[in-house]
Amino acid sequence: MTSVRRFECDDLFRFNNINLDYLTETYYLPFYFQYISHWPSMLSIAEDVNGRPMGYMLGKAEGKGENWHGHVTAVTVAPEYRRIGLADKLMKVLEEVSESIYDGYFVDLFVRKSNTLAINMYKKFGYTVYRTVIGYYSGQEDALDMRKALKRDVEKKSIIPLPHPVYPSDVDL
Amino acid sequence: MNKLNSIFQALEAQNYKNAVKLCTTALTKKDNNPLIHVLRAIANLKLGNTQEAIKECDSVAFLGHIEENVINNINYFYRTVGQLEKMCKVWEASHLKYPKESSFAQGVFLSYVKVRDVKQQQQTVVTLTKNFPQEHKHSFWYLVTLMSIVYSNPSSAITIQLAYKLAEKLQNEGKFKSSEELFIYESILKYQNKYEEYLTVMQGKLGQLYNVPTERLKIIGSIQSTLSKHLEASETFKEIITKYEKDEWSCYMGYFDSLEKIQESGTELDYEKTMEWVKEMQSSLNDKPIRAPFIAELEVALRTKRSKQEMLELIKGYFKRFGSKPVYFYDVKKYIQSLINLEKDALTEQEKIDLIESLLKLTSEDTAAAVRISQLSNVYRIQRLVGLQRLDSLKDEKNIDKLVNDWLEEYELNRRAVGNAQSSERYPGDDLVLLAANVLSDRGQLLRAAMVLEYGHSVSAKNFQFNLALIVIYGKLGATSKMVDNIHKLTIKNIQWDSIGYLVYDQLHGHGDYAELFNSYDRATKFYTENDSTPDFVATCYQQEAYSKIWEIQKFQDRVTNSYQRAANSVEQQLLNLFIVHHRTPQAATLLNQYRSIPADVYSTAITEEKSNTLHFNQDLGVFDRWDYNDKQETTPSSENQHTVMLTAQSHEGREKNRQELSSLLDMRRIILKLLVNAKIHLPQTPITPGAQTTYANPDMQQYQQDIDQLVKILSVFKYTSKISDAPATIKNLVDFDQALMSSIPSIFEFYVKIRNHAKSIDEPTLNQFKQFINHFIQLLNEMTRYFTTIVSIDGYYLRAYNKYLEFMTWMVYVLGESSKIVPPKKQKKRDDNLLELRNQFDQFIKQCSTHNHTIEAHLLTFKLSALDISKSQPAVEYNLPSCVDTTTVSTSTKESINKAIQQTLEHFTSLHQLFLFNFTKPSTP
Repeated sequence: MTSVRRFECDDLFRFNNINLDYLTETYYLPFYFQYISHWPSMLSIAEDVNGRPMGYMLGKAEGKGENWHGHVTAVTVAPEYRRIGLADKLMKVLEEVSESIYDGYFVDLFVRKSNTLAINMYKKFGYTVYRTVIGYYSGQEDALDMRKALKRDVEKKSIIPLPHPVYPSDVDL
Repeated sequence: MNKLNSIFQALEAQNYKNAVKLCTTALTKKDNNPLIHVLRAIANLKLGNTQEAIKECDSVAFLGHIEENVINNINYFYRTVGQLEKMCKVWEASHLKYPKESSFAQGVFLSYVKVRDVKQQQQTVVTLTKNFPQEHKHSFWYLVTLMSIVYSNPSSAITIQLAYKLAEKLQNEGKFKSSEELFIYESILKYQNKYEEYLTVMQGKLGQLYNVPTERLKIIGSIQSTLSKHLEASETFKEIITKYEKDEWSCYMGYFDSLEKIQESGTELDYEKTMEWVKEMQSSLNDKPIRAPFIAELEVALRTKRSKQEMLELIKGYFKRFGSKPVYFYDVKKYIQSLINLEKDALTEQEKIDLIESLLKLTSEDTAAAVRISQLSNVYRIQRLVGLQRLDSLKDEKNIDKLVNDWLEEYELNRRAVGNAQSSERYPGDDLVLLAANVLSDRGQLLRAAMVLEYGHSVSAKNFQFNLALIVIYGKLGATSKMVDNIHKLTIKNIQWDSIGYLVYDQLHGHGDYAELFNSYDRATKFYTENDSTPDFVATCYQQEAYSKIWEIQKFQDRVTNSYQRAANSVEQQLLNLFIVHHRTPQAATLLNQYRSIPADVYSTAITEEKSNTLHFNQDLGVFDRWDYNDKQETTPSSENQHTVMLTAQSHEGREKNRQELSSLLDMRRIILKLLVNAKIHLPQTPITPGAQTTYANPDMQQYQQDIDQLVKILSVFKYTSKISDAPATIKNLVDFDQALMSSIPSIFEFYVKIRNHAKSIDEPTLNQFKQFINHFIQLLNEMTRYFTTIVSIDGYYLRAYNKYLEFMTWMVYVLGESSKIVPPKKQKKRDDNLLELRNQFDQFIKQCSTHNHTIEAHLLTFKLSALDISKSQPAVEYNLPSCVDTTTVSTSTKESINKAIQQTLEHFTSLHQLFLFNFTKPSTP
């Protein structure tokens, strides 16, 4: 009972039932426009039957050579629409776009090491921990870089875990 | 290089004086680096030396630069001063110097894109395609440019033809490589209504450019619907559902819409057959939590006009499956509302009760189960939606108490069993607490509502719905600081100041928390300034070949530029500044500078009907979810105080007003600002009245009177109509108070006009008119003062009235101050008896105003000095809430907060007294 479509600029006026939740950041305007003007198909929004925003996804395509991939910048669901598989649905849209439009090798995301709820959710979606990034969140907390290989990465090389943690300066963003 | 680093560091540290100094030192005869000139211009701009800065930037900008750093800083400078059009000249100079560099030619084109000069865009893109044909994207830039011309001038038939031919040519040459490029072609075909051709394109090879199959199929389905090929459309949507997306609701709707259209053309929609397909879809899910095929049953039943009973059974069936999900309510809302709104045979009261009872029977009996509290939340939200929590349904106060207590006890029981909510999640039963607060608030039991909400918030600290509700409740109670605490917890940021700022602006204004309001405006202004960079991203779309977003971003930019909230903020911000300056630094020079700093465009243009149509109302009204039926729950006011005192153009209560009313409100505030400003800034070189000791303004009095007339006209829209000849009516409640005060606003300015027109000499009849004016105001003040002294308790509505009075009197003292400069002083040598009498009357009036202010203040002070008894404004409170609710702490802290609010208002009274001493010093002549 969800409709998913591409995220549009005007959605910025009406995403407050999602963004007022403390875990979701409301960025400066140029941040959103940077994404919208570069990767229009990597942003999607879900609406309920009444047209009320339920959640959205911000993503991008980046990297070089075999590191070319889709990246999940933010996936967020309003509290009242959680636990109905919406994040999974939005992730799948991004994975499909990363594969079909951008022909990436994998999709990745960063998550706080302490956010076990999210980590388990991503594991359920098929993501595995690729590496730990030390002090990624303002030097205060480590991030887990989680990845899921796409069809182009036939040998699944992109998701072989690194044996050691890395620093943010080593991360090719 | 080191010099530059130091300059950049100084700029970054906002040490602009030092930056100017460093630039000046660095600029020598040998080193006349244009970048340093631009940086000095930026620093000077930040220091307020705008003209000097523009002159300096202009002196180096058009020399034909190639360094990105220089061009970017020039771009920043011109964008900040609102002269982005100069960037076209900057790029043209670079292109002229290096004509073979495509980047500069592109720069010229993109600079015209940013200022939306489509004609110049077209000229430059022709040059681009001619001189740099190897660049694939230039042809598409041309195509987009043509369509931009078409959109800006729909009568341009030749241009659309040209666009179409060019698109065809590109297609024949096999130039289309991406769906973004195809999007332009689609736009051309849609504009020309060539849907058959559009369908052929999408079903052909070009359509394959949409690599995600569902994206292409959704477009095809939509075109088929437009072409009335409903059978094909139904098959397309069905294909998406069955093959790709079983939960994609837009496709179910597309499918059902198509079936319905087929039915309209003669074939009866086969309910059984459609339901059979829906059931098939359900059985194919393999236990996945997908809802669409189940709610589709309700949709089909609704469209085939099945009986009420069938619909109700389906709603119950859906509850059995998804009743423990918070989303259940939103899923069935539409269908329940359709049953309530049936023209014939709408749900009866008994049927509504039966529905609730039968849903309750379906809830888990395990009181410790998390699932039960979620189910109950859904049932009771539906109960509110169908209107069973209205007064006439819950006739007895005991029923309300029972309902509230049952909900809270259930919540507490479950909380103990399950534990507090995870820090990142809402507690599933939060909605029950919010419902309890809503029911109490509906009946004016605000303190109890606050207690209940604080309890819920303590369990589920991250649920912002508690903060939203508490802002409203504390606002009504007059507990300003607690209201502000909750505003802070919302962490409104960036674009949210435009979309949900309405939730706080008027609340803060009404409560006289001007410091907080000032900060809010400041943050909002930063967002509106951010929008100045939006054209840069339109240019990025061209560069990144994200063509589908070009017109979308431009539309967004216009929505922000023409935002109602933005217009309202700019007026309110200036009125607020005037209020603050008058109260804090009433020195003549400061006041004059403040008035002069107000940009004329904030107030000079009244919103004509035409202009109000271009205003965009970007407010997000859906964020505060109260689950009310039609969002307008019938309530019983606890007292006349439920009627808000209208203050600003941003009224929180007024958010549901229609747009025309909001525009009128904005116009009203604009004209007041204009009248205030015009009585101040048009200072003549010499005093008009010989012997007058002070210099005063000399506005165009004919225009001034016209503005007053306009103000009267707008006020009449809100039925604020009384004349100076009318004796002020008795004020019995806040509605009367509002009426009396609002109706008298034009009189303040009319008084000023009269004084200005009769400053030199005055005859008997005119003197009598003045006496009538003064008498009217004295009677008004008498009545307002009498009313204030009858107030026995204080709450948010009364605070609003006090603050409105303060604003009114600030305008009054301001106008009296300006008038005082005109009426000759008593000691003037050449005496005119009538003028002397006027002076006497005038001085007496000022004294009386002052006395009234003191009386009202003294009464307000009694609330602070006395042990504040909230129960006077909350008569129904007996605090009979379950023991889990901490009534004492909330009661005490609310009382403290109200006291603080009173103190804040008293401080404004103190400064008002100072103003009535008329210690104005002589302003300097401009």
